[in-house]
Formats: sequence, C-alpha cells, structure tokens
Amino acid sequence: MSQYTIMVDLERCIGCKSCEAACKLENGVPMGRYRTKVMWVNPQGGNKLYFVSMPCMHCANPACKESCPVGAITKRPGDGIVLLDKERCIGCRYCSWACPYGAMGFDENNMVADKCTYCAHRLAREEQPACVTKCPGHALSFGRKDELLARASSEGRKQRDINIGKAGPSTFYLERLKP
Amino acid sequence: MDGTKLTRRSFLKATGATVAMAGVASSVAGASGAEQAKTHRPYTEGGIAPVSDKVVTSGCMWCQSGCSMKVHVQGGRIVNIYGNPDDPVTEGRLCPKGQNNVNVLYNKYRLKAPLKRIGARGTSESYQEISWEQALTEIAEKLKTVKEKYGPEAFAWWVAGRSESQARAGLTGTFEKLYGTPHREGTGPFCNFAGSSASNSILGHNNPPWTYTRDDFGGADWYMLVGSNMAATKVVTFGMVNDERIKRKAKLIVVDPRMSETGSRADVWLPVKPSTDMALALSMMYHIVEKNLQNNDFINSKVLGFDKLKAFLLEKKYTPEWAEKVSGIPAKTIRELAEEYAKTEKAIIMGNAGLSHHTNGHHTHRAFFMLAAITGHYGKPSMGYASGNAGATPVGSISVPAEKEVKPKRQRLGKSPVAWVEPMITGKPYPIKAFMSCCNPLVQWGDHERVVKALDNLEVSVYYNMYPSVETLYFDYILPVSPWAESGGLGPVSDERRNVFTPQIINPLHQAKPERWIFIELGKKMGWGDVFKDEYKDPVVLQRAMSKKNGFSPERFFAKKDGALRGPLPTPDAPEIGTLYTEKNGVPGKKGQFPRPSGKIEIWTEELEKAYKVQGLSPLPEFYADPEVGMKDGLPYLEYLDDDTSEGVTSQLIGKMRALRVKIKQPAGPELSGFDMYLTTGKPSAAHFGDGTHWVGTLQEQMPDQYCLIHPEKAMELGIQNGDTVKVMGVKGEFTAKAWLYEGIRKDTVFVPNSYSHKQPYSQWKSINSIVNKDKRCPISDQTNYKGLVCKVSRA
Repeated sequence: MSQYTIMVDLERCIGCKSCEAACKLENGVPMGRYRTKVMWVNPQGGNKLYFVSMPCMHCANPACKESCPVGAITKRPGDGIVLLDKERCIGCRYCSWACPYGAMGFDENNMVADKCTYCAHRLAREEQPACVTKCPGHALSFGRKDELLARASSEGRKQRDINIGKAGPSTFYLERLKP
Repeated sequence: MDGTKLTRRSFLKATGATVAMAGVASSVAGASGAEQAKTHRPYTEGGIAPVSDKVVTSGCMWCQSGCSMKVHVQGGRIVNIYGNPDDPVTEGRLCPKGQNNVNVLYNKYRLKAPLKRIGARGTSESYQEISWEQALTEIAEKLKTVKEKYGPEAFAWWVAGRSESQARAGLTGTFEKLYGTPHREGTGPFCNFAGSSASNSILGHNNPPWTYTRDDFGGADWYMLVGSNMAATKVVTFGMVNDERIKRKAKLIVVDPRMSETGSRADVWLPVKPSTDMALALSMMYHIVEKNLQNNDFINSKVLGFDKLKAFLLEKKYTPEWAEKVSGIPAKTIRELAEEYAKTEKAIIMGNAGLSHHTNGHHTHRAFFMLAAITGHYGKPSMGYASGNAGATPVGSISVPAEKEVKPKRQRLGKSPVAWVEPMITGKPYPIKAFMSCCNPLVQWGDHERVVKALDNLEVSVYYNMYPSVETLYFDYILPVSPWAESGGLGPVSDERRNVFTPQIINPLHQAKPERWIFIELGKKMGWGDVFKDEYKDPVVLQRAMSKKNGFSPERFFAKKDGALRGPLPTPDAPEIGTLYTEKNGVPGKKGQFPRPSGKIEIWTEELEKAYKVQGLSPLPEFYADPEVGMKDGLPYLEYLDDDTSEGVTSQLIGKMRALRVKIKQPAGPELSGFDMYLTTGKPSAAHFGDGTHWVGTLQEQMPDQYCLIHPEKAMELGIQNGDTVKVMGVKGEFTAKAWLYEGIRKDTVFVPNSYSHKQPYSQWKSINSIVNKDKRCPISDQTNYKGLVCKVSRA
C-alpha cells in the first residue's frame, strides 16, 4: 500500500481558514462542525504566531477504527484513507474519544460520526481534496506519502513529530523555519 | 465521569476482535472511490457537493484582489465555487470569502422586498413592505422635490459597497450628471484614498506599479509591509508572496503594532506605535541622504525636488534616534533597513489601511513614495512603493448628452461622505437633504448619534443592500439588492488594476433586483428614459455600451480564460500592460513615464508647494501624529482651522472640492491624561469584509467575536483574563470586546477589529467606530482617523 497524505507546511500556512471553508462547501459540513479545522497558536515566549490546519490524520493504526464497536471505520487498502460507513455507525462516539487528534466530528442531525475522507469522491474523479486545491498559502500538498516526504527532505525541511502512542499519523507537518 | 470513561474504554478493548473482522468486510466493499459512492450513504446529511452540470467563469464580489472563480452550477443552483487555475494571479486559489459567495446568495437573512419606514426610526416594526413601483416612484418624486427646493447639490450618494462595479461605474455617474450633484463617492475615503491621492501627487497616477504575479510582486528579494495585514486582506496574493519568500529566501519585514497573520511570517516584526509610521520613512530617508546612499543617476534623470527634500530632512533632524523616540522602532534597526533597502534593487515596500486611516495618511504615503523614489525603486518589475486598494482604472460609463448635463453651481463639500453629516444637520455651508447609500454609515462613520440626527433632518434617505444591517432601522426606504451571480456585471477592481466580468448565472432571489435594474428604473422615473435604456438591464449590453471608447468590451472579457482584464485600456484595442511606470509602458493613456506635468516623480515643485499651502501644509512631509496620540504624548498634531460647516478652501490636489485648512501644532508637552493605551484596528481575519460577511454563518464562525488583543502583562496588571469581556473607553465613548491575551502586541496598545455591529445575527457588539471622531480626518485625502486613538481598558 502506498499511503495518501496531506503535507501541511507550517511556514506556508497563513491562517486564512480557506481549507475549512472549502471542506464545508464540498462536503456539506454545516456551521459549527468541522472535518478540518485551523488552530491559531498564540505567540509565546518569543515564538511567533502560527497556524495548524488539522484534517484527519488517516493514521497507520487508526484509534478511531480500533475503538469502533461495529466496524464502521475502515482503512482503505491501496491508499490508506480511513473511511466511515455512516450506515453502520451507531453514533456511540467512541471514535471521537479515541482519536488523539480531535479529528472525528459528530453529525448531530443523523446521530452519526463524521470525518474527513481526503475527499475520496474527488480522488475517484482524479481531483485533489477541496482544501488542498483552494489553499491560498500553497501550504497543503496532497499525494503519496513517500513522494511528499522525499520532496520535503530535498527542500531541507524538518518534519514535526506529532505521533501519539502507536497511531502513526499519515498527515504530516513541516516545521517552521524559525519558531 | 472517569468511571464511565474507563468502562467504555474497557468495552472497546473487549470488542476489538469484532471490530477487526467487520473492518475487513467493509474495506472490501469500499475498494474504490466510485464504488464507495454507490454502496455507501453520502458522507454527510447535506451530501457531498453534486457533480456540476455547468461551470461558469466569474469573479469574486468582495475585495480588491479581483479573484477569478469557477462557479459550479447544478440544476440552476450554485453548488460550489472553486478557484480558476487559468488565472495567473490566483493560480486557482481562493480565500474563505470567495468560496462563501455561495452562502451570500442562499442566505436566510437576505433582504427580500422593498421596505418603507412608516414609524419612528430604530425599530423594524416601523417598516412595511411596499412594491418596487411604489418605492421607486416615491423616491424619484422626493429627489425631484429636493432638487427644486434646495438645488441639485443637496443630493448625496454613497455608491460604495460590495455589490457590483459595473452599475456603479456605468450608471451612477450618469445619474449624478443628469441630476447635477457633485456629491457621489465610493469607498476610497474609508479604504486607501490617502494612498491613491499621494500616488497621484507624486507619480501622477493612482495605481501601484506592480501586478500580483510571481514575476512582478512575487519576485522581490526584500519586502517591507507597513500597516498591511496582507494575509487577511489580500489573502491569495500574500500566500503567493510567502511561498516565494520561502523558495527564494527573500526577506520580509512587517511594520505593525501587533504581530498580525502577516507579521507572523516576517523575518523582522517592528511593533510601531500607532500613527507614527511616517517617522520610519523620514528617518530611513535621513540615514540614506546622510550616508549618500541615494540613487543619484535615477534622481538626476527622473526625480524633481530631491535637494529640497534633503535640506528639509537635515533641517528637521529626522534622525533614526528621533524616530526611535517617536515610533519605538530602534534607531539601529532603522539604519540597517535603510541600508538594505538602498542596496537591494528588487525591493518592495507596500502600505495599506494601517497608514491610510490616520490624519497624516496622505503625507505618510508620500514619505514612503519619496523613499522609493530617491533610491531608484521605480521602472522595473518587483520594486517600488505603493498603497493597496489605490483605486480603479476607468472602465467607461453611459455618456450624457451635453445639453442634458447639469453642472453643479456650488462646490462639493469634502471628499469623504462623512463630511456630509454636518451640512445635513446644520444646513451649513449649504444643506444636503437627500441621501442614498449602499454602505453602512451607522457602522463605518464615527459619531453615530450625529449620523442618526443627520438622517432625521433629511427629506429622503434610501439604503440598498443585501442584508438587514443597522441602516435598515433608520433609513426611509430599504431596497433589496441582488449581488454578483444574480446580477452579473463587474467584480471590484483589484489593487493591480484587474476587473473580472461576472455573468448573470441565476435569477434574482426573492424580490431583490440588481443595482443596474434599480438605477435604470429610478432614472426612468426621473424622466431620463432616453439615457437609462431598458436594454442596459442586460449586463453584457451595458458593458458593450460602456466600452465604446475603451478596451473593456464583453468580447475581450469573454476571450480571456480568467474573464479578467487589466487596465488602463484607454482604447478598444489597447493591449493589457503589466508593470507600470517603466520607460516603455509609463501609464497607458497618459503622458510620460511618470504622468506628472513634468513627466518626472515630483517630490517638490513650486506648483505643489502652492497647492499644499492652500491648506496650510507642504509637499514635504512634516511629521505630525494623530490628535489623540499627539495630545497624549506631546507630539505634533493637527489643529483644524475649518470644520464641515465651513466654506473652507478649494482643494488643489484631489479635484475641485471644499477642503479644510489646518495648522501643525507643536504642543509644549502632554495635553491629555487618563488614557494609558493606544487603540488600533483592522480586519478581524481573512473571513471578514465590512458588514456583509457577518451575515454568513460559515464566515462568522471563523472569527465570531469582536476581540481585544491585549498583552498578557498589561492584562495581568488590569486583572483581565483570556475571554473576559472588557470595556474599552476612548475620548468619545466606550465599547466592549472579548479579551484575547496575546504576546504579539505592544504592551501599550490594544487591537480591536472593525466591522462588527450590534445588529448582526450571530453576535452583537457595539461598533468600535462608535468612539471614532468623524471630524478628525486627513486634510488632503479626507480619510477618517480610525487608527491611532487613545483608550483605557478594564474588565466590563
């Protein structure tokens, strides 16, 4: 399997939240709910303000998948995208609690979980995820993880370690050039 | 609580085996995206955006970025908006506002029918629905009566707004000429007219030299952004610049009292004291001339008045040490910046509303223009100084037969619509009695009680817009407007001179009408049906009629993959030009590389000296701060010798209109006590633009509250915690905001964003402009002093 991923460049992200808006329009996510969210991290102790765009991490070992009592969450062979079957979902929210990245949303109208799919329906049409195509900062890149890692490394960029436990997140972050 | 959690987690472990099995079955079923779509329920209850049956190239209605967009339509409904990959400026990117144009249209808060006020101002109960026929008939009759009773100059029209540039350019000027009023104005005096007027005064033209492409604005090695939070105000462009900065290791300096989103990307962030940016430009020039770092070849061939400037800087002793005392920027840093700038060919300095929203806005911009001029930073791509939002290039209009044009007999009262308030109330120097507006005077102008009083004194007031903003409780007639895709027309001009043609894509919703339709119907009722022809209700027909003598024809727009044309296009076949002020291009349609009378950059000439002197100023930028800052700190500030009820003098710089005389006062020491902080303001984030975005839930949630950035040390001293509601008290009143403890701001300054109001649906905040003094304005550009106020802050 060659994992799909989004590479998020913390130096390029300008905090505009265009990714949030793109995701909402493409996936019909209403006000108050998110499949991707931009966190503003305040300047502190001489470190500058920065922004973290947080879609699903599509982990190697998804805690959401492990926590699901009915098998509604699967990791797709071939590209490693973590998908939720809403018909199977019973709305127990264990996945929301299990996810160490707070990436699992909840659809209160249908009482089921709700999550980022890397816009799987667009990928099937050979289009990139909505958030990536619209990003004004050129901060989001989509592709196969090995290729994006190689690109980051050729540009001399450091990766930020966000692995928590054994999750093995696929979405990855390039560290700021200067904090 | 913990017990429950543990129990549930234990349950998870116990069921792990089942999960794994079910997982295998499920992933087989969903082996590809296409199959997913068939076998699985859509991803949300709203469903993924359906595959469109039509994609239309259009332009965004919001800001001066002029982004081209791909509008996805299905079954006659707009379902999504993407960027346009064929747009060389945006490269297919879009900010949150552009995308949310969908939710601007399909929005439950839209004004749905014309309304007439039949009771006291201030409550929606005073309004009743009326027909368009009744509304426009009554408005036309009242406009005619006002003209008869008070003369044509008594009608004032604020044509600004986020609606549509074609009707504004093509029809409102025509209406103005037929009626005979000089009082028609756009957003300039609230945005960056200080910048465009300064540019006109020194380069001979309003537009910046650059285009927002990688080979021009994106191609510099050194950037200094002064009073410009580009990341929030020119989102896609800043994204590109930041990308280039990283790729090419360009240097970025951001001058701003707070570390904005833009400042957070900077190599150097300089937290300048509000209203003192002029000191930075003056002292950088001082250091340059002292060290003889100016570009003498460029000056000798292309600049007038350098010697005067040099003598002035030395005489006034605008040294880096002086600037450090005034602005808080270290003298050592100023010297380094001056030397880097003088030695870097591809260097860009850009200013924006952070410079314009001050009583010294015009002269601050002029000082930065001079800095760029004496170092030779004009004539090639990727260099220069300019202000953002520096105005349009002419896109044409419907011409008025000479015998029908009514020439105003009395001189226009000021550049800014704010200057109309006192004549509305006092009738001095002559009365203004009718007012139409598509913008928000009760949010954007200062002294709101005075504005309400002005409305009380009018014979007719008309507000036309998309949402029931606070104005819909005070104006006499409220008209619902159809925005961009319902209307068709032109998107607003970009900083870098582009307009995108916006086709009409869907029919107007509710009873709303395009502005074009409103102006034509009103014009007909005024008796001008021969000029305001019904056929112009079609945006393509109107565009063709407007472009008879210029290059903005519908055919040229449609031939472009981005639907955009970059002006000036002074003739039908004029080519689109990139960088301005080059030896080859100059400014199309104007004479000389720099279209001043001399063809050169004019820092000082005898004519300029005379023109500024009329108002008590000089073309050389003598330093003064805003009045409240000056009074608090004992810095020079302006005394006004005229006010808005005066005849004043006639401006020699921005067109024949009444201007106010001033004197720069040198106070002996501080004159104002009791205020320990400065207040500065700006856009809340990339999500917001004026009042309109606050009515769109998916934008509002991105920056929901009127916040107050305050340094944690200052907050601790005042007993303020993060999220507390704080009271900000200024000289003219007070408002509240939500405290946001933030290390990236001067300890003596708070930042509170503009554009919130008490009559917005998702959160209600008294506008910060309620403490703005409408009478304190830049004497040349007439821009209001929004930034650079003093205040004290406490827990509410």
